[in-house]
Amino acid sequence: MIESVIRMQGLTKFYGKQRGVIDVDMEVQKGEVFGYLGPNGAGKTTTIRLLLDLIRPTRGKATIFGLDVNEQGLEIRKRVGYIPGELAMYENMRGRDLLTYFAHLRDGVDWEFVEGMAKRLDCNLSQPIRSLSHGNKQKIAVIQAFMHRPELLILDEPTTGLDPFMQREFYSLIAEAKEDGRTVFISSHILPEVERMCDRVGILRAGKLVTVEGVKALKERALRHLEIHFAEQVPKDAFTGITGIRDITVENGVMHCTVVGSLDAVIKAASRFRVENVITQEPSLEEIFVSYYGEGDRT
Amino acid sequence: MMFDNIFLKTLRDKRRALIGWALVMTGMSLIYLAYWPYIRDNPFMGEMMISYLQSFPPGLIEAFMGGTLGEFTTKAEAFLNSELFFMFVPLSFMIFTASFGSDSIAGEEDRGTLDLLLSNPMPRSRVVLENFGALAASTFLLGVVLAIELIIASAATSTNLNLIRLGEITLSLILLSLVFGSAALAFGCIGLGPGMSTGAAVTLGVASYFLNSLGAVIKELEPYRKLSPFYYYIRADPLINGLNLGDAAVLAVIALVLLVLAIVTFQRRDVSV
Repeated sequence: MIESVIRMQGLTKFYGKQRGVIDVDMEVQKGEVFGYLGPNGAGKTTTIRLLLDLIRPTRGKATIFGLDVNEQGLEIRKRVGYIPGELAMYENMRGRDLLTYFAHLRDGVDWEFVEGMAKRLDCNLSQPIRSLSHGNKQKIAVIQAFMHRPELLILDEPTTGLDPFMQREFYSLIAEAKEDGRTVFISSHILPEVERMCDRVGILRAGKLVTVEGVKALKERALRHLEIHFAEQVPKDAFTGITGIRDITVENGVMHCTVVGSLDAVIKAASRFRVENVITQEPSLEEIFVSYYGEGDRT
Repeated sequence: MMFDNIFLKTLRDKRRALIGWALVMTGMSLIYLAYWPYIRDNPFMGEMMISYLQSFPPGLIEAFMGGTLGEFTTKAEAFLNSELFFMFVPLSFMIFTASFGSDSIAGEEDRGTLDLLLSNPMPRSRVVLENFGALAASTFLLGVVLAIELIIASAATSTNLNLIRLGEITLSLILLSLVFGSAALAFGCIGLGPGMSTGAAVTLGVASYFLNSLGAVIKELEPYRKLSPFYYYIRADPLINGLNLGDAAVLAVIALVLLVLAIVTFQRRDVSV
């Protein structure tokens, strides 16, 4: 039987009249990496802060490990690691002090493991936090979330501020957590990042959960902007009629189009001419939403 | 060691403020006590001061020096009461505890670190209690510093102070200060920002100071004096007569009720980002 680690039922949060999230129903299974995707302001952080019992739902409920997040938050938090979206840390402390402090609040952690992670992330624990760049602060946040090897990681936009090398290191930390059988709930507004790390993705828009899909299905419907530079003039007809292609324009040997799904047929059609350059652009989340679900209700 | 728990970490965070306040208290008290021998040893000067002070409306003397001027120039305790323990010291202590109390939850929430702290496995009540513990310990420490410094200064000026009575007024002072510290803590727990929490607690403190002192001269205010924590702090005149346990208990109960209110409201509310 598949075990649900997180379960939300009709989870709703309003801040006065302002919308947070509305009627979110969702389950995250044990051992999966679940991406929570949505543009800024969609309600990702609200959902996560409800799970951590930092804010209380207007209606509906959420459970983690089968325990109610409001009633049994203490038991839950022992088994959860968290990175907040709006990262703020004790500026007057050194990284090592902060980790020591939190380790004590958790009744101890394996300090060798902490040192190992710091080394791996190239994180200087001896400097005052106030003197660190945002990326280096984020590394400390990553360590404090992982240091007690929690069963569930709840990470709110965790790669913010990390340089590409550290992002890769972070992806491998997530992969290792998955190998260990741990569960990861990770929010992001960057589709390729979610595609890279996650098994399933829940898409949130304007406070409502639009869909939950496997990453494979998402990739099959991927939307890309393509720009191909040719060394010769090409007719527009050469590309019309290809499955999934639209918005084709050709001007001075440069073809622009939008492709849904596989690029294979477009690339094969282009290969009949002399190609100088191919540029693909990931669309914005908003474009993806419009492409998948129409204009809908954006408020 | 200093990062073992919230209590010790809070004390560590406040070490500079505590040292600063201790220096201010010491400096100001020394200045006052330094001119006591001149008044004591020169009856002429004492008389001059009294006749000068008598030229003010009695209400003003009551409001800022706490009542009769009778023994003001002849008795060290009466002098210390008027110059230090009636207004300057309690109001200074109150500002210290109010800013400490409001920094605890409201300050941490304002700086955004509360999210990370509360994601640790502990109940919110523990966060409030350990912060209150640090507040109480710091206030106690500040009180002890003041008492020790007065003992040294009185020895240096050959002033006979009853040490037990000094301890008793200090205890009364600590309890009074904790009332306003707890109030500031509770305001933060309810959801006011750090500036508002400090401001509200200090306003409450100043208002209750005047309610008590003006209540002594303005008939209409008299019945309401009992609503002022200052009334229970100084009514029995602990430096001269010793601590009234009933009054001390009233202050302790107010502080504890505010602490419970802080815990209950903080447990129920949303933490803002």
